[in-house]
Amino acid sequence: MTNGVTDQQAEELRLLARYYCDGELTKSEYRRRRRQLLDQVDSLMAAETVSGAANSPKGPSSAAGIPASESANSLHRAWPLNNWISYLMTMVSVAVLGVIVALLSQSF
Amino acid sequence: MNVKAWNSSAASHCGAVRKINEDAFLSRADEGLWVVADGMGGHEAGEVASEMITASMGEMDLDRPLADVVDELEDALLKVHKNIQNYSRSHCDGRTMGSTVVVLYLRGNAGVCLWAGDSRLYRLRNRCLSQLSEDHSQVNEMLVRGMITPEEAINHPASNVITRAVGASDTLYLDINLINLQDGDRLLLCSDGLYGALSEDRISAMLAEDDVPRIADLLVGQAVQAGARDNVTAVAVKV
Repeated sequence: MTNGVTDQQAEELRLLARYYCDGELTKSEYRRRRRQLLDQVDSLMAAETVSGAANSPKGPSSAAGIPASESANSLHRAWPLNNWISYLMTMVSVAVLGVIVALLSQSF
Repeated sequence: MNVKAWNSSAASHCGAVRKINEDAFLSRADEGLWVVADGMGGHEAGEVASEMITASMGEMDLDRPLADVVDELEDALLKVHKNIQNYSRSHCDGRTMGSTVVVLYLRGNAGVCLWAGDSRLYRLRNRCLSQLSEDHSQVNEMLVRGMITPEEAINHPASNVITRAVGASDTLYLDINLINLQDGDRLLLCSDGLYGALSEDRISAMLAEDDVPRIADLLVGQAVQAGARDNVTAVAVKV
C-alpha cells in the first residue's frame, strides 16, 4: 500500500467519523460510506498481495504466507498428471498400432 | 485471512500511588487485535468497565472482510456502553463509571484504530514517534482551538478531564483512523498513566528495543519508577 493512498483514505475516514459525530451523517449513512472505503482498502491489499507475489523472486505464494516449499509442491503437482496422461496416450497408441500390425500380418 | 504473525508484548501495573488497577488489556497477537482500556469510577467500578470492554472482544470472529470487523468492533463497544450504564444504575446508584479505550486491528500492511478518550496509539518509524490517535479531552480541545500552547497543555489542571468514554455519556461516538504500516514500524497502545510519567523521548528509546517481548515490561517498569500517579498499561507491537 502506498503512503499517499493510505493517507488520503485515512483522512476520508477521519472526516466521516467527524461528520457522524457532528450529526451531519446518520449512523447508517456513516457506516455505508465507511464500508465503501474499507472495502477499497481490502481490495487494494489483495491486489498488492497478488502483484507482490508476481514480482517476488521467492515464488507466487510467498507473499500470501504460503511457505515456498508448499508453493513448489503445488507447481510440481501438475506435472505428474500431465506426464501420466501423455504416457497413457502413448501406451494406447502403441497398443492400437500393435493390433493393426497383428491384423495386417494375419491377413497376409 | 490475517496471515502475518505479529510480535508483541503487553503489561499493566497499578502504578506508584494507586492500590487498584482499573486498566485492562487484550492481546490477540495471532489475529492482529490489541485493546487497552482505562476504567474510571472508583470502588472497583472502573475495573468492571475496562474488563467488560476487553471481554467483549476476546472471542470476536476476525476472519472476515475488514469492514465487517470494524463494524463488529464498534458494535461490541456500543453494547458495552449500554451494559456499563445499566451496571451503574443497578450496582452503583447511577454514579458515573466508564472507560477510555484504544483498539488496534492490523491486517496485511494496514491497520485500523478505534478509540474513545485519552488512551493513545503511537507509531515509532525511523526513530520518530507519532501519536496516531487524538485525545478526547478538554485540554486537547483547547489546544486544537489555539486557546493554549503545547507547553501549557502539559500538566494543565484540566489534563484529566476527558470528553468521551465508553459508558460515561448518553451517546458514544468512537473515533477511527486508518494506519499504513512499514517493516520495522513499532506501535504502542497505552493508558494515560504511561505518557503521564514518561517523556516521548524515553518512550521512543524503549519502544525501539530489539527484544520486543520485553518492551511492555520495560515501559511500565520505568513509568512506575518515575512515580506514575495513575495505573499504567502498555502494549507494544512490532511490524
